[in-house]
Amino acid sequence: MGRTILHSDANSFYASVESLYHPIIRNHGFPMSVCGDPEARHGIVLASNQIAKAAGVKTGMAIWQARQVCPRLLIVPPDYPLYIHFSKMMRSIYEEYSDRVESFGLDEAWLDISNPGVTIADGEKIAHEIRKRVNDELGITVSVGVADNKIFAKLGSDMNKPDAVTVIPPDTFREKVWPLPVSDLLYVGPRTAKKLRDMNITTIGGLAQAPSYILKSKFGKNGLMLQAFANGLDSSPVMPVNVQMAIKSIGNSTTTPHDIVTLDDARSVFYLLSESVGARLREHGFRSRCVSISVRTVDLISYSCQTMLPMPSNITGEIAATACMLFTERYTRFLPLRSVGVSCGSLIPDTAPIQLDMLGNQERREKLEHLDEALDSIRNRYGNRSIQRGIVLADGAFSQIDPKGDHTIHPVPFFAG
Amino acid sequence: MLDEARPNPCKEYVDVVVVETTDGDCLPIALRTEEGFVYQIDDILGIKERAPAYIAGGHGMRYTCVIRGEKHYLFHDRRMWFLELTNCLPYPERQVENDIWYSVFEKSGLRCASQSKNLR
Repeated sequence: MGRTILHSDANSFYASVESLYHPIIRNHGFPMSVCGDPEARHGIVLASNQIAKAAGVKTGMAIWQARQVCPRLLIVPPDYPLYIHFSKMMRSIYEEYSDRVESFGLDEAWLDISNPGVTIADGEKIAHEIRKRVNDELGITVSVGVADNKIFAKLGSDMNKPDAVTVIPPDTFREKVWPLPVSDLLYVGPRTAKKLRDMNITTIGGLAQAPSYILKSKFGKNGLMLQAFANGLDSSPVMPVNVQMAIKSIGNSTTTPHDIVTLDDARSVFYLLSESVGARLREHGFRSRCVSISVRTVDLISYSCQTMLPMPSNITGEIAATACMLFTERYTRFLPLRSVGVSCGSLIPDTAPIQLDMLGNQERREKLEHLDEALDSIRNRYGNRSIQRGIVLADGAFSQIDPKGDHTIHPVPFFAG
Repeated sequence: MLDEARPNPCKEYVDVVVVETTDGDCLPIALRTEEGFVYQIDDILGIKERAPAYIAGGHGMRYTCVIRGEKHYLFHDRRMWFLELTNCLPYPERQVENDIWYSVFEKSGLRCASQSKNLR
């Protein structure tokens, strides 16, 4: 049985919500952008209304660049709690149509409305109903794509904007989808698009019809995955996931700029990764009871092991020391390494009481926690590289890695489960 | 930020006296404007769970209220209440009728319509 999947995407979500709260912007037709705080060095455009977009303001521009292309531009600071509130309300509307709603960021969601007897035409009807309801109840517009798989549903919602419904029928999708540029496809970013262009593949149809073995040799199994997407053969289910998924573990891994050859190299990378893992543990209010490390050799063989911590901890130094200890005990023979990772599991909230150790030095641990807090606040203000451990600076190339800053969470929900 | 720069004459944040009914509903029965005038809500014509306030700017649960014979939209946006003023509220003249909320305002030191008039 064919599935019926909707993808709903709020049009310039942050900007729409801000326009709703500032009617003066809408009534007078001001170009407006929601921008990060320039003082915290987040001064880039996050979203713009249609008028600003028409003037050439693009997401990701620095504020001064945006002002250059559009001198009248109004800058509004972001209000994330408000956007989360709206995102939840949108989700509650979606949940009236299906229990399988998968959020993808704050403003996008897939809905699986397939049921025996539900056709794509019914999907279109429901899509129009959702579009009208969101506009009527929330005052913002959404574009909805209807298809028989998640990839084409998302493609459809991007095709017509704003406030529109696009249907990609499973039997005639070739006429609609294949002429589109390949960069429109989910997971074809600028780099993949460039590689494909070098292979003379510019449209989705070109990707769909390219010989699989070439794609496989160039991109590995991801190449085959992309080709399947282009052919509408995506069968990934709509996961009932929320934006605020329960966190089970926090980890970081990195492929280093050059291979890790010596023990000192490994220690310095472990400290670097633990720094990020520790900071994220503290950010989310967790302590961890279990540290695991993973290594991948130059022959691309992976190993991992884990150990319990004597006390739940979110202290960078303790995590790093445990990771280094695990490594020196077990994995030194695998050197040189291509990539390593540190992960903390068995999380407990940092407000939970902890059993103190009679012989342990709790005072020192508390001091270390305060130290980490101070380091976090410095890094939040001046960037992750503003203050670093000496051990990390030993190798110039490694000190350029910024696991926390480069850490991206966006694609995770798609492959979850 | 924009609100501070250009105050919106159509949006008035208000204090509200609310009755939480046994059905689990939450019904406003009186409101107090920023100037200190108290108005009784005579009737609630309709409640919409989610509605945008295009004129005032904002969003929330919308109560279509009758205040002094005129229809006004009262919004409950997360924790704040505001009135969407398409036409101005009449100047308060009438003595407050409902004793219960009158005493609530008395005790809390808030002014009621009749008193406000004297103070002006």
